[in-house]
Amino acid sequence: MRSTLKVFCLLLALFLVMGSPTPPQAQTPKSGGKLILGMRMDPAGMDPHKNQFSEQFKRFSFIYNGLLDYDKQGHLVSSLATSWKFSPDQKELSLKLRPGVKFHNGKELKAEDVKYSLDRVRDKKTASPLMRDFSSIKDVQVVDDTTVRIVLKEAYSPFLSKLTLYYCSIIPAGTEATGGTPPPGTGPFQFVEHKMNDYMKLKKFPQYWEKGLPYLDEIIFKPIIEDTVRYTALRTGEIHWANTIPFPEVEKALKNPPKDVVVQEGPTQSVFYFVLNCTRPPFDNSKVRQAIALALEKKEIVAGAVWGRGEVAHQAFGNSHPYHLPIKSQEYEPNRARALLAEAGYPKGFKVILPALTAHSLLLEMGKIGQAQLRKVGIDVELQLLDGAAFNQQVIVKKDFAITTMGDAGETRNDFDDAYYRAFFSQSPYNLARYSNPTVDAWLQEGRQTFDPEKRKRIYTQVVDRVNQDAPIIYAIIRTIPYAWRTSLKGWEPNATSALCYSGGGFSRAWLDR
Amino acid sequence: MLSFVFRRILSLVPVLFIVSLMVFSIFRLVPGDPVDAFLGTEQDPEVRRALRAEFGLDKSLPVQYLYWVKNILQGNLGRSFSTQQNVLKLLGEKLPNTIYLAFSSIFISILIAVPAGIIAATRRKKLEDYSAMTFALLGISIPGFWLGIMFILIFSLYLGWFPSMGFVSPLEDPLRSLWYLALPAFSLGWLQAAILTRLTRSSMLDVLNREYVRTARAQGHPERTVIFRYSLKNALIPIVTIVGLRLAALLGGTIVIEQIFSWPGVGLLLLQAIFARDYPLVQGAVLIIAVGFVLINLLVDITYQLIDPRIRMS
Repeated sequence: MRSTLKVFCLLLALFLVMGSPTPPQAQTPKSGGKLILGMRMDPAGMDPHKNQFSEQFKRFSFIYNGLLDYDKQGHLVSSLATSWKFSPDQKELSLKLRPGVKFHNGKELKAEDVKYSLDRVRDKKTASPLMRDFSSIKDVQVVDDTTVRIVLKEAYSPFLSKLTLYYCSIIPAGTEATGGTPPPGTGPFQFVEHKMNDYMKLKKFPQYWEKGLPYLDEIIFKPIIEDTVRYTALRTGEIHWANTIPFPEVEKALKNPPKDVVVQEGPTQSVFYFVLNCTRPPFDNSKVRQAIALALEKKEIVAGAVWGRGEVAHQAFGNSHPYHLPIKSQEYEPNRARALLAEAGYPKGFKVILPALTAHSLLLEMGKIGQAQLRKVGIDVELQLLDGAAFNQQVIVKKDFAITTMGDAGETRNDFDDAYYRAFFSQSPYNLARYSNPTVDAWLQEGRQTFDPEKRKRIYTQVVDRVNQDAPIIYAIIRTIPYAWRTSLKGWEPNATSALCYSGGGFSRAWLDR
Repeated sequence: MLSFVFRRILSLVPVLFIVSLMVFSIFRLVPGDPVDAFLGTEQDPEVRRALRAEFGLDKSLPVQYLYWVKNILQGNLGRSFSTQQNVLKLLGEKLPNTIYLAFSSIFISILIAVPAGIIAATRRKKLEDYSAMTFALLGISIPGFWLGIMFILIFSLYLGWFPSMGFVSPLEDPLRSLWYLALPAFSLGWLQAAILTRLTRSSMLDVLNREYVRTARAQGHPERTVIFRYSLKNALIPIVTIVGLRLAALLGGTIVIEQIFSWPGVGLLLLQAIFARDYPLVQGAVLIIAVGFVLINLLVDITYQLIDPRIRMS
């Protein structure tokens, strides 16, 4: 009897141990170590107010802070400003600064630095590509050392998003980039050295305002242009983290990751689309544009251009984004496309040239798949291959094109306004399609003046539904980013923003389990 | 000899003048300018105007050229538009890395190609000849980027012998530097060796059929003396010419291998500068490469005389 009881107790204990879920082993972060990040390129330029291409922004997010920031889910949160308040007429914004924040040069953050930074970005002499984003500012005033008042020309609801890191890094008054050295920031890491095309070195900033952070002593950005080589370097342990791995490898790597490597897809809001020039025949006819929208099979484009690593897009923001709208989707209907072409006077289709950016393989692939799909409805697309500068001159500056493929990085679109006003407002310099619709213009203006989030959602839903009917732009892909890192790297995971350091996460909280 | 060297160096002046004029004008004929490249999709007209003024592009072309030449005469190649760094400093940083890679790969290619070519020529239509020619054919047909990636996968990922990418200066740590140099230098060396093997073979075959070689054999000289003393020395002239030309070409043209192995050389920098339409950097790099070309050709001419005293420097 006693032995039976013993066996029963043993079995029960075994069952409890094996059957109960194991409590997660919360690991204590370890300080120190050098982290090597494999980047896609080594972008030139060290001025955070002038150089904001995606890869530059990723690096700057280690060195600088904005007044506000985005958290892991993409919600607006505090950063160098702890609180903010609009005046009743929404034309004045007062921001209270975080006390005791130090710049990398030892100076304490004051309101004059914020004024200097904002004034510098919007100054014509700086020639910042982001100058227009601050055109709503009338004046920046220093109230006291820790309070800044921003006076706007008119109420502008997306304004808070312009105070985030992408648009304006806060730097000490009177400083600027000199040669290959960036100005000091307030971020978790400070600049040490940059050898073009070799590496960029940052070190821990001990006086960083988030106490106890960062854990890592040193960060090395290693530019490795070829995706295959970057992924190999990660597998051999030469780098700890890789910014994208080759698309054809992703599915295999997700199912069966290489030894000591974690592979995970990160959401991005990078959107890729076709642009049809509404002033250029035959696309000046809305029926032809609608026909193109119906003739493009977006599912196939996602499968072909990004190996299925993304989602079909009908709007500028993906399913997981707070700005995703409940709009009607554009369906693939080639027969209706043919009928519309016939109605528009092109029963046998037509010939058209598509300038494609060779530097961006995704845009080129999209162009090629679009070419094959449009051939099915009788449209003969000829690809014109151009490098970045030639493409920008012909397509963006001169708007000399009929149809093209384009993409916007996630960090450039932080509000409905960034995505839709830019692209569809008739007077916007970034309205590549030269689309003009007074009703849409009025809605877009209304969206800028409306502060109630639900009301804004309704306005922009109307906008997207209407432009999807008119089809000056045909959204196709919202891609994900396949990140990979060594298992020794802890505390980092993909996030909704493109920043690699951000409020509450990123590499400021990452550590190496050595 | 000295006057020859002096005259050749003096000939750099008209060469550089023509090169400067050509690179300045041709690069400006390419569609797209630095402002188009710099601003990406954010081509605001006001910002474009400000940036054009900052880069000095608002001045007329002759004024831009004269301004550039004036700066060169003062030893200033200007400031790069894209990196905002001094062009001379940037090139001074990258050019030694490219020279290091180019010389190493040429050295490897000579080590492989000259013996392979000699063996192929002396063992004509035998297994050794066919093997050497197959190797040469493979080397000529395989694209550099594919070979580089294969080397990385085999020697770095699967065997773990060498790092897959990166650079360590030989001045910092010579042994580690060689370890990092191995794969890019072998990839590049293999491609050069293929061309040189074929050339060495055909040049040796030509010499081996000459009467003086037959005479040497008839006089009973050992085969080693016949090959190395009488044949190879006479076959070297075209080989030295090609080695010189390849080396000069590599100074500006290791772009693919530099990109694959993340080698911070002048080729990669030049490629980025071309995409960015970084006029000062491209113009400066081309001028420096032109100087390198002339100097290497001078070196080749001097080597001719050492190999064949009948060639006079005049």
